[in-house]
Amino acid sequence: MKSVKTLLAVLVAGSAMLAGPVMADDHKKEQKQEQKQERKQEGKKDDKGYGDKSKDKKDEKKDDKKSSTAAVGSPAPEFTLTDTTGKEHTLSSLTKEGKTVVLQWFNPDCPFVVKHHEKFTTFNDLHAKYSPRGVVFLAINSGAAGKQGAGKDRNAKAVTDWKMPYPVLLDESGAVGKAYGAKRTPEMYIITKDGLLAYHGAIDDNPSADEAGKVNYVAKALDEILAGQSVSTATTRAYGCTVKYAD
Amino acid sequence: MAIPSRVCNGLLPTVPILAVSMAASMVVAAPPTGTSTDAPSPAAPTPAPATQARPVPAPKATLALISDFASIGPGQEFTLALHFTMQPGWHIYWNGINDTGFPPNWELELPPGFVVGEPLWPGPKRYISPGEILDHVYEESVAILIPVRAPDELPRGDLTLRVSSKWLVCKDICIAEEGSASLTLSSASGADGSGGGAGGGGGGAGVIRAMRERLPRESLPEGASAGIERGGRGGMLEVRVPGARKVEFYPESEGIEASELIRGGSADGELLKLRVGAGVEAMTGVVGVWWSAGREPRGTPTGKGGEHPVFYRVSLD
Repeated sequence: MKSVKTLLAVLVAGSAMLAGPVMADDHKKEQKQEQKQERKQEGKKDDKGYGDKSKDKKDEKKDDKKSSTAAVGSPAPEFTLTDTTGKEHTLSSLTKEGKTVVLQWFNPDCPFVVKHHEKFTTFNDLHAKYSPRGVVFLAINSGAAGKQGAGKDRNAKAVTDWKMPYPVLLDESGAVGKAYGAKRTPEMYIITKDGLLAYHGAIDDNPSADEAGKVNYVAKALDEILAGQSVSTATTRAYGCTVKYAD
Repeated sequence: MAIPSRVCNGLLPTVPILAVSMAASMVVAAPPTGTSTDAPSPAAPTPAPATQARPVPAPKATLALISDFASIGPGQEFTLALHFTMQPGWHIYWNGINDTGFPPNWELELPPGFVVGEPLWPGPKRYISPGEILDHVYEESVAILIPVRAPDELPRGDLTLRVSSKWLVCKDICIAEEGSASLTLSSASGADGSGGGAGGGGGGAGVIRAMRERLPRESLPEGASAGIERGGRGGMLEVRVPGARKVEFYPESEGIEASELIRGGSADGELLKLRVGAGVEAMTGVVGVWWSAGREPRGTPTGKGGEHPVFYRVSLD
């Protein structure tokens, strides 16, 4: 439990999303105070989730480690993760190319994820519609080794079974998931080409395990982003199964 | 006039429900089924519906429809309940704030003229998962109580009541299950209903009485207090219950972040303090109190071994 306690102080602002954007400023301040206390302990932590790019910008690196502040309007945490084919993906490389990036927290055995890949083809449809317009889709599985739906083989199989046109990135240490404050699968984040988080929350407005939603919040936000407008519904409560972090 | 009343509770909680006919999206299904997630994946994907592509395991939660009266008279008020029994280690969800999870929803099919009130949810148990994830759940067994009033004109003979429900049941993995149950009560025109008898009345009354003890009482007991102290950067929710050896808070409205609730949502002793976000105007929730021996207010049932605390509703603004 010690590691959990250490992370607790660090993860304060990630949970700010539950209370809406109002909380963000307060928790940034608290978070900076806690940063000073926590830095020495954090220095030795293994940074599997963060790639070479973050070495260039010291400040960003500090922020990455502390921030489970995936707060809408703030820079999204940088990461480099490997997908099930062994290919690496780095967030800043994509945004620098002018891409809008959609992150989908993923667990192929979670009924809510299954709903959107089997009963409905929500995610494949989104990809078909928005990928030609410069939007990159990445699924991220932060399940620890041995947990439900985790591991390269299981996720590679999902990509094949569900004919996913976008990769599943493996985050078995949970570092990226925790940096983003991801608690559920599916939980959605949209990052604009300036590296800021523009949307965080549910894929749509029906939290059941078997019914279609009426409003797809991600599609709505992408339409607004691509039209140069601000996102009208920037934060919603995501629904889904618990992300299977390590104990 | 033989159209049965169909009553749904929506996916979102706290909507008062009267006998309104609602378009039913669910079909009453006789055997329990589930969309399994702990079974091996299918060898080859097909366009077939998900429930056919994956094998269905035995249900982790079973549903029964029970009543506290076996025999119902005209205009009589009684209580129905959705009684869920969970396999060891498995839980379903409360209808307050949860990080993940999804409370049961249901559709009741009642004879014409029956009116239902708002469902009553017993107090929950905190369930914390790695990654600072907080949910509020029910383990072992729970019944969601539904007040019902029979019409003044009651047909003779048997009354058949049905419920179909969908719920999420989890342990370390989650399974979406559905099930249905029915209950036959007898119509006692002109006679008083009684608590005994077969057909669900006898056993139902005992379970319902026990579940009533787990409902939140309307307000904190005398001498206890709850309030929000507002400051510049947010406020502090304080719940003080003299005589308590442990106090917990289960939120029904937003305003406190999960990490705060995980660290501070359960306090030893009589004082619980939680930081509340700036701009939070009002909060509702449930407080769970474990009383020190002899300190509980008169009339409080003393449960065996403190398995469940005594629940009280708090509404702060």
